[in-house]
Amino acid sequence: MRKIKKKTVWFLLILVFLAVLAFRLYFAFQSNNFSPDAYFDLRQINAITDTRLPIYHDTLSYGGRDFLFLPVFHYILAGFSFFIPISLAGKILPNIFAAALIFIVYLISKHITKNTGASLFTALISGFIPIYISSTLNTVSPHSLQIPLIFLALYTFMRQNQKRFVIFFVILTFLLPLIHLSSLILIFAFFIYTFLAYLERFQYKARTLELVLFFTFITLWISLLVYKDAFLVHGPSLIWQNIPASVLTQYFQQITFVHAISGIGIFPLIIGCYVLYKYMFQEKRKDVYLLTSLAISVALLLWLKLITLNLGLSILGIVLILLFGLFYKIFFDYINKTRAARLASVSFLVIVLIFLVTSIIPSIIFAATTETANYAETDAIAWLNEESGKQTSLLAPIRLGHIITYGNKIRNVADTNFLMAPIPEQRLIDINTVYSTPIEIEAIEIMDNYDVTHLYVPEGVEIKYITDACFDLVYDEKVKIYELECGTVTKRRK
Amino acid sequence: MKSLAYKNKIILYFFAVFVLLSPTILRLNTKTIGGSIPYYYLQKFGLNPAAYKILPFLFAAGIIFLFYLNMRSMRLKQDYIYISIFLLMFSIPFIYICTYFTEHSILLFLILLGFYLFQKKKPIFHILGSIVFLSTAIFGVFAVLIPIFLLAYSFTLKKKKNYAIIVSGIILVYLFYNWFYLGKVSPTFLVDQPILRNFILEFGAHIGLGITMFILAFFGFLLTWKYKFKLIYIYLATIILFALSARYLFFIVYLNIFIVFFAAHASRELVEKKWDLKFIGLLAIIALICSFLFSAVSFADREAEAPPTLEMLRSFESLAREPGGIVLTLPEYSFWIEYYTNTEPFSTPFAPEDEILDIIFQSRNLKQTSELLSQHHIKYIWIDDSMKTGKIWSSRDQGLLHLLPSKIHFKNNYNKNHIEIWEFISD
Repeated sequence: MRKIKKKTVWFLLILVFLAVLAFRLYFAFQSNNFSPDAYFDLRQINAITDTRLPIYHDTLSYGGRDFLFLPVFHYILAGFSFFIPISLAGKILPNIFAAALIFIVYLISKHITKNTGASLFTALISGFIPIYISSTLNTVSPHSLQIPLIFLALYTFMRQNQKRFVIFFVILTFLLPLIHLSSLILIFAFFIYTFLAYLERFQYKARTLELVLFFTFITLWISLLVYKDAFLVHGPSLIWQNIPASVLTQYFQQITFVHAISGIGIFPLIIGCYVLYKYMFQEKRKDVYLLTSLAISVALLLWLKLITLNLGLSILGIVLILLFGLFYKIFFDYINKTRAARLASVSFLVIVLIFLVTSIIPSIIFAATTETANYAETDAIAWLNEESGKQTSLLAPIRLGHIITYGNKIRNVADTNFLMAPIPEQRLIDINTVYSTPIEIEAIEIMDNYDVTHLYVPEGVEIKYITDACFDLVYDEKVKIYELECGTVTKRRK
Repeated sequence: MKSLAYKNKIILYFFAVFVLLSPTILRLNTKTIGGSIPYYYLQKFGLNPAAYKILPFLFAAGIIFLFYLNMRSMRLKQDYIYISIFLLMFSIPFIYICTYFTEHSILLFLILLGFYLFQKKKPIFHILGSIVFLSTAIFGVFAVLIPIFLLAYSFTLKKKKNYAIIVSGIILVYLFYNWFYLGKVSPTFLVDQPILRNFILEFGAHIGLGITMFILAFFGFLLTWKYKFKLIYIYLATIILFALSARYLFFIVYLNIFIVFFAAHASRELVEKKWDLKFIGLLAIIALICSFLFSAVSFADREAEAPPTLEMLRSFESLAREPGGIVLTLPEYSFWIEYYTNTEPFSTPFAPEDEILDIIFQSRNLKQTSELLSQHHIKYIWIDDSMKTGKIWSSRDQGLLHLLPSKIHFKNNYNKNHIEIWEFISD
């Protein structure tokens, strides 16, 4: 087989990277808005840019509460916002981070397959994992940086024989838990790997154990330091981030085969599972065991509903694609040894075609249907931001919570950041009651209780109790905003 | 790595002394002492606040010195002694007794002194040791528990099995007594949190162990398992103190000595271990030291911020000016009320009167509440913000808060900075 030059490989990789980035940015810029939850991160980045500090005590969210989160990702984006506007940095940088995954996938694949062609192809596919695209496209999510770094940590762990990779691993050990709590997944993976090493009796060096224990200690310690207060308040339910039971299933969904097929793509899923079986039970390989351990830990955490479906399927998808690289190598090695060697190019085209149908097309669909806040919503809230005074508090559906506080002016009743939030379950019930009750006095009592001054009425929603006596229609477009004219809060204001 | 750990011991000790002093230093600008329990001891010993702040240091210095002498007389290796002292100085229960003067500072000092005297060969020291051990009984029956364990351990060290067995019998009787009657015979602070929250500072323990210390001690326990019969009394004492600490607050101070013993064992293994990746070993040790430091700083910070606040003091001053009468508030605030206002609180942590308190605080029946208040001669009700925001009530419509605006029965004497004092006007 013809050997590809190193320069050519990197040129091709950069081409793939640019193609993936272009794909992502094309869909990201289809709207100027972000997904509703991204406004929390954007607000934090704004705060860091203005004051050098994130907002840990917020007077607007839930009418006043504390936030607990890891701010490193926000600092990185804030750093770049000195050169480009935040709204642009929020679109471009997370997509650059997420697209950079292809370099890491290439390195891991090259390490386990020792085949440049297979690794390049694997890198290409890894750029088009539907669920990973949809969860990092417009979300300004720390996952766009965290997931590539998790795999970089895995790669440096695989190459622990060389000191420079150990140093890299140590740096990542300190960095990962500062970006997102999902670095805890790696602890599970390392322990499953250790357990498999014990069962299968493959070589497990002293330095491997040292690295595993070091990573575990540092990650747990940093996580505990940051989330100590949340642990004191919520106890073990911190794992579920204090998400109210009524919406918990939206975040921690049960994994189904349909989810897996649509999120990962059927081709990498089936081939990946086959390779997993082959290398677990037939040809025992240490590096594959490491990937397998990560797959097992993610699958277990998904099954136990301890991680979100998007995060779990993204990691699982990347692992299966890495295993697909092994299949690619075995397949073409086999073809080249048979009389069908001249059909190798045809086989390659067939694989590309299958990949096109099962990964790229679903990726396009996922990218095109990614949830972003619509203009009607953001315009209405932006209008209120301009018109309102300091005491304005807007009752709106929970998904709009962060958009409301983004302008640093209007208070919300609730948003989707439930950790350390005051009694979110009750607030969700109350918000639903305001939109569903036919009794005016009940709604006004609730709004009084949360010092609400304005009521947001989403498109297509009709509220029966609204009368001119108590509600003044101040914004009337696709969505409506009413100013409350009754209740003790209004009396106090007047 | 070993040399790094041992050669810099002066710096580390200096650091540890600074950590020990930090809760007091951070609170120097306030006249108050953090928390409510110290006010119980402040009144019990009749000390002024300045003396109260100085005394624990003196005892802590004595405890460290005796701890060192004990370890040396047990012929432990120098590096082990060095690590143990370092861990003791960084341990939260020790920082607590170094910050607040309680009978446990004296007790720990006496226990270590008695054990040290028992290590000596001359009989005169044994007699002195016995006297010291017996003198611990002044503080209550529970105080003799640890001395008898150490006595048994001392006998096993000297291979006097018969003595050890007799002492073991005494231990059993004492244990039975302590477990079932301690709370009834002497005022003891109880803990009623889930087990992890009770022991680990980071999970919310009042006087807890740092999580790293706890994990290290666990590994140390496993590592020493090979000496099981030699250390049988140490294991027993640890387990029993662990159980007692789950119920009574201050036993953790004594448990801490054993925890330090095990943690030092694990730490020594870490330092002495031949690491394949030396710089990982070095980073691990630095991270460990940092984690001890962070636990201590977190504790110091908590104590520095602990109530009573200036606003509370103002309200106490106002209450002190009122004619006397029983004051109703949360049991944990009772020592402040007693100390600052010289009035009698309705309930204390030793006599919490939970049932009556619950009815008075939660009932919206004015007749029932006023009857109870009259019956128990309660004249004042002291309420702070934390009581109104979750500790007792979460809205103004609940229980007693709902009844207070009734002008026939209650008169608001003070309402500043979310602190309210109400006077009950009985029929």
